[in-house]
Amino acid sequence: MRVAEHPGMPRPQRQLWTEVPRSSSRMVRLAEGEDLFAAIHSLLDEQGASGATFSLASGTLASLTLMTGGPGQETPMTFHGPFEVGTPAAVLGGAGITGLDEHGMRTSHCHAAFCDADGTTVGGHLIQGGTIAGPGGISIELTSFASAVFVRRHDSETEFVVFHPEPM
Amino acid sequence: MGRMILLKLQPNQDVTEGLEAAARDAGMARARICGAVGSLVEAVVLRGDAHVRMPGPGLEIGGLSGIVDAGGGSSLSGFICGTDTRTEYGRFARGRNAVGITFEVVLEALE
Repeated sequence: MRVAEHPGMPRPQRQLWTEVPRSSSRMVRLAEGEDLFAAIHSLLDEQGASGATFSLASGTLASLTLMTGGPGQETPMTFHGPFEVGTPAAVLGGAGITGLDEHGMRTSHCHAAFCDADGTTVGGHLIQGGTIAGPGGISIELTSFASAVFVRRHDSETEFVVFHPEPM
Repeated sequence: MGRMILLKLQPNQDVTEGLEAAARDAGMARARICGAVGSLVEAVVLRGDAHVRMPGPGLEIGGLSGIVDAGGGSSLSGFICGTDTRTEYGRFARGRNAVGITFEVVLEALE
């Protein structure tokens, strides 16, 4: 198996987890013109949820910008892009996590695949403000949590700031 | 909903084996993947008997689905996004898909 050479020492614990005391799941339709991440953050604010995971079920996008992973210069991997996708693009599938950033603000991490305006399958890392629902909107399954959350923290092993599971 | 955990896999461990180890540690005999976002160093997926290899590094996983079996019988499938936005689909080959930077997962126990 090919592995990566990261700058920091591997931490002894390889799987970090925390229990979710309460959760609930529901289907949600985002209206045309809504930004995916902003709409999810607003729904979670209304619920008073600590965080969520979500799946893209169906729908079309009026605007879509993706980033991809790829080789880096100072780290083994980094982000590449942005790539503008021809729209309208149809949702094929995807998954996301909503947690908190270093300042306690909601932030989302989502990877998804789409069929672009030319019929080509494309996929990658979605960015805030870059995923706008098109005609008919987008349907998602939203599973929200209470009393547990993913929080962005510095990972000394990779030198990236990434989600870590934490109780609240 | 069933008992649920938020999970992070550290780099350079196989996705399937890392999920199974976490399920064992959390006392979940079997678990459903509710959500999963992360990266791979490179990817090897199975479509029928064919091994499809996607060179990396820095591939993005989305849409991972399947049942995690703490006893080692997991079967996971999903899609991987390449460095040029190209995607591949298939069943994850055990021991061939190392986590790149991180892998964030929500697991729900199946009773």
